[in-house]
Parts: sequence; C-alpha cells; structure tokens
Amino acid sequence: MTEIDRREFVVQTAGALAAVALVPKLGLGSFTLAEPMRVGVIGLGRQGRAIIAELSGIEGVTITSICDTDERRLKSGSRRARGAATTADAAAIFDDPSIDAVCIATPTHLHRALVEQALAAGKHVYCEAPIAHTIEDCRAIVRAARDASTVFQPGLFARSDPVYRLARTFYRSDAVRDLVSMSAAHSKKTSWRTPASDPARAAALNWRLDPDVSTGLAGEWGTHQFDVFHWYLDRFPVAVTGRGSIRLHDDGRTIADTIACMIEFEDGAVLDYQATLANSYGGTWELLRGTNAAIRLEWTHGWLFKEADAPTQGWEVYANRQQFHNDEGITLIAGATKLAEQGKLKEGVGLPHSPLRYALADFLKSAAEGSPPPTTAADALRATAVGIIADRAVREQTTIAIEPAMLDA
Amino acid sequence: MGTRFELVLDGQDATRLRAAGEEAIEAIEDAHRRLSRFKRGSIISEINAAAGSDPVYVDDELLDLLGRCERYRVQTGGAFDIVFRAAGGAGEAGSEPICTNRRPILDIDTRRVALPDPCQYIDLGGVAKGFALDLAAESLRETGVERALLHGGTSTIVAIGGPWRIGLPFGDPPGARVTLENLALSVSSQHGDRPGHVLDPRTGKIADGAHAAACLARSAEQTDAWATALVVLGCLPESAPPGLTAVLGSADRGTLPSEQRWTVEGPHAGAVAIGSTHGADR
Repeated sequence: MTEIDRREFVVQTAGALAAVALVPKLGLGSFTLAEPMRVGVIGLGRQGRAIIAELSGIEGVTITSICDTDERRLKSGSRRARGAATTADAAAIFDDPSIDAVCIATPTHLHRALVEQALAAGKHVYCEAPIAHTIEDCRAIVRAARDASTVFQPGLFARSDPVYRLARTFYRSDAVRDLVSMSAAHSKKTSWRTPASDPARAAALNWRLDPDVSTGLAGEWGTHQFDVFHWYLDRFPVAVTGRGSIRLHDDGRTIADTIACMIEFEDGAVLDYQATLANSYGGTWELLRGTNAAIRLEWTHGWLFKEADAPTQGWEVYANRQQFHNDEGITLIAGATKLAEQGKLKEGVGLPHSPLRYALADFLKSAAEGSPPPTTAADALRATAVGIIADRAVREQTTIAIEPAMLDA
Repeated sequence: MGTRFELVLDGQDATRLRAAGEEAIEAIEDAHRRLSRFKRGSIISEINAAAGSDPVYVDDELLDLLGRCERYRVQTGGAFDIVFRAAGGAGEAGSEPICTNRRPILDIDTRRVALPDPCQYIDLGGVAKGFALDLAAESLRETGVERALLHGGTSTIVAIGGPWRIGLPFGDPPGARVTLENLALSVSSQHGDRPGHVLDPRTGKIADGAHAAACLARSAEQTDAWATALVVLGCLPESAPPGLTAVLGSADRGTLPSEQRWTVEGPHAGAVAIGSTHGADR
C-alpha cells in the first residue's frame, strides 16, 4: 500500500475504532502477552514467512528484524513485516540489545551456531525442528539451552497443539487402554527442490538434497511425528529398521523420495512410519491403536474410534461424530464441554488457528513470564536423534539399535 | 478459493521448471490457507469469527491487501466489495447489502482489523485468485522463468512473457482474440455454472450492467476485482485507474453458445504443466 492509501485509511477509520473498543472481548486473550516482546526472525523460507504471519497475530509482539542471505526471501518477508529491519547477517540481530527473542527457521545444519550465538547474546530462542543434522550438534544445543538464563523452545508443534493435548489425556486414560500398535505417515508430492536463478545459490537452497547435511524424510518430517509418540508413551525406541528408494524424482539425487521405517519399542510395540515425496494421499497423520480405541491425529484435527466392547463414557452421547467409510470417529474438540453448553460443538471441529500459532504463543509466554516452555531442548534431542538414526537406517537399508545413551545429552 | 489453478511453464530444464512451478503453487496454496473464509484457521475466518468484537492482529501483507480492496471499492463506486452482511444473522453467509456506514476498520499503526457489525463477514473471493496468481507469477519471474501462462479457474490468467493469444467467448464480434504479454486478464460473467452469481454489493440484487466483462492490466488482483465490478457497472468509469482495459459483453441476458470457449495460443507448447485444486474445504 502506498503512503497515500495508508493515510486515507487512518483518517477513514479513526472514529469507528473507538466504537469497537467498547465491544466485549471474544476470548482471544490467549494470544496476548503479559509483556511486550521484540522479536527477530532468522531464515525466511516458507516456514520463516509462516512464523512472521503467526507472530503478527499475537498481541504485544513487534517483529523488529528479519534476516536471510537470499535477497528474494528478504523481500518476501518484508511484505509481511514492513517495519522490520532487514539484514543478511544474523549477528546484527544478536547484537541488538532491544531484541528480546529470535525465531530460527534456517536450514537444519545451520541451527547449532545460530542457537549458541543467540543464547549467548541473552536472547530467548525458538528453533525449528529438527534442531540439528547431527546428534553431536543436538547435544551442543541442549548444553547451550541448559546454561542459558533465557528460554529455549524447539519447534515441535504437537506439545502446544490443543487437539494433541486433549488426545493425550484420552490416550493416557482408560479410553484407549493398552497400546496395540502405532503408525504415522507424511505424504506430499513435491520435488523438495528450491529454484534459484543463480546456480551458485541453488546448491545452498537445496540443502535437503545434499547427503552431507540432509536428515532426509525421516529427519525433516519424522522428527516432528516421532516426538508425538515419545510424548504420549513417555518411552523411546530401542531399534529402527529403514528402507528407502527413489520412486519418482530420479533427477540425480541420492536422498530417497520414499521411505519406510519400523521403529521398535522395548515392550515389542512397533511404530510403522512411511513418508514419500511421490504421492500426496493422506497428508500427514499419526495413529495409535489401543485395545479400547484408536486415536488418529492430523495436526488441526483428531478423532477417537472406539471398539464395540469399550466401556461407555457419559460425554460420548453429546459428542460430534464423523463417518470414515465403515468407521465412525468421535471428533476431538478442545474445550468441548463449554462449546456443548453453548450449542456450538460443531463449530469447534478443527483448530481455529494454525498449530504454529500455539507453539509460538507458548514460547513467547514462557519468555515473557519466565516459565518453562512446554517442549524442552532434551525433548528435541531425543526426537531429532531418532530422526537422524532412522535416516541412517534408510540410507544403509539396515536395522540400527538405539542405546539409551544415544538419546542423552 | 474453490477452484483449480494450472501453470504452464515454457523452457528447457524440466527439473528446474518443476521446482519453480512447485514454489509458485506453494504461494497459491499459502494464499488459500490464509485468505479462504471457508478454511478454519485462516486469518480471514479469524477476522470473521471476531466480527462485532475484538479487532484481530494481522500481518502487513494482509493489511495491504485489505487496503487495496478498499481502494477498488472506492474506485468502482462500491460495485466491488469484500464485506458482506449475513442475511440470517452472525456467521451465516447471505446476500443482503452491507450497511455502508459501518465499514471494516483497518488500523494501520497497530496492524488491527475489525468488523464492527457481528453480522458482517469478509469474503475475498472476488480478488483472492488474482492476488495468489500475482504472487505465483512474481515467484516464477524471480526464479528465472521467462515464459509461462497461469490461470485460476480459467477466469483469471497471467501471462509471463509471450505473446499469448487468448480467444474470449464473448465481445464484439464474439470470439475476439486478445494478446497477452506480461499482462493479466480476468473475465466475469452472469452465465456459466452459476447464473446470476454476481451480485451488486450496493443493492444485494443480481448485477445487470453487462452479461460478461473482461479486464486487462498488469496486476491479476486488479483485473480480478475490476472484472466483477464491470459486470455490475456495465462500463469502465472515469474513476478507473490508468492501464486498465475493458472488454464488455452486451447486457443481453441470453445464454452464451456452448461451443464458444476460451482458446489459448502460446509461443510453444509448455514444457511443464502443474496444477493444484482448492475446493474440498467448502
């Protein structure tokens, strides 16, 4: 918008804004911070730009600086945060004492150095997951977070996601009972290539296809999904078997575009994980089957599928249901009791905000209030390490035993 | 956006073109996620859910888009608008005209948007396709794509490079061709799958200015907005910005002959074609 347009709007709307201030609040207060926060965003690819949009929706947040080494991405980021200073050097953000917090969404292998510098500069840090491309770098991040007086939160959305939190209470109750098996998948038909007009930039932008730094599908997507099972089970895998191949993108890459992993837990429970860049059917989901019910999770939605012989619980009578061919799922709705009282249960299906918004809000609340974040660096180490080990199992088409020490800092 | 987007990219390196196309499609999908009022979790559904209540904080990109939509409304004398009022009450889409003295509030300095009336809602359907295609085209140009044709639901087209010759299914004489080279084209019509679906926002009644209109300009967002307004207005007003060209169909409300369809002639057959469909969330 030009300056003239902006002035027109301010004049046009000044009176009406005062009138709206008299209207009672709707209940979006969960996205209001106790203290204003000044935030820098480092890395302006798709995730970095999504972070800018979601931060903009949180009252009390000012995005003061954005950083990327790619001019095109800086320009694109600026469109969403016009007032933010732009820089190609993250040190400019770390050296600015007015900035309280940074969000890091760079390529995975660049996380460690940035996290260490940011924490050393006294910034609160939100870092996308996987937090690093080697277990050693993950451990270094855990140490840096432990030594810091500020908050470190990894970008594992599930632990902030109201649907996942609600589903976890069901999982840990008698509603699901004994665990039978687990499955998860990520499916999206995409080349994983980033175009660049400059061939030199193409190499840097296509880090996910570089076998030296990429963690493959198991690391880049699996890490997020493995954390769900770690969190729900409060246990960690003991072995992973991997298989992978190139089913579609036979363009000279060596990173598999389709993988399957069998992830084993100590008591014999198995997580079947599949991911592909060659087909989009089903998207991204996790499934836990228990002796009384199954829970299916799809980031903004969740369902409970009960067995016929499972004990009846009173609230089910009022539950919202959805048919999936021969199965009927009870929709998991955060705050369902309150919505049911208002006769608005159906309106509560699906999250009203992106899962990223909840994760960022949790991070900034922890930073503003000095409270512990819902997800720790140690959680991220374990999820990322399993992702890295699973990627290695895929590359070597083998089974790798996971010793507990491998997941420790 | 309830429609299918398709890109045809012309060039030699199919791998690079596919990657460029995927990034452009991602820009379109991102716009859909953010702007669809039917998509729970979109910023527009958040604003609509808060109508009559608290202002919603938004990013500058959306604030700018809403600002430009207000400019289109003023330029078209209200023939284009994004704010509607539910006929049956809050949260229910309808066709009644809005109360013009209760405009949405854009607070530029604090990045807040508010709808004063709980029955109001924003629907960017008249402009979102063009906005998304402009973003996609910019992405393609910046990644070195020199010739491409993009469309959303066949009603808005963007040409990168060219010349691309497009046959319009109306005009005088019908079937007239327009040449696109680094230009956008949108058409709007009272006919097709949903006769009478273009309403005059000022009256809430079916628009009767022209039975069809096409608009050419540099920006697809602009042509998208103006094509709809031209069906309402029936002519290009003096308030129209420079650089805008209109082709109008007559006010005769007869049905378009079924054999008259879009035709496209480009410099080459496309090396890579890629598409994405939005519509499952309605």
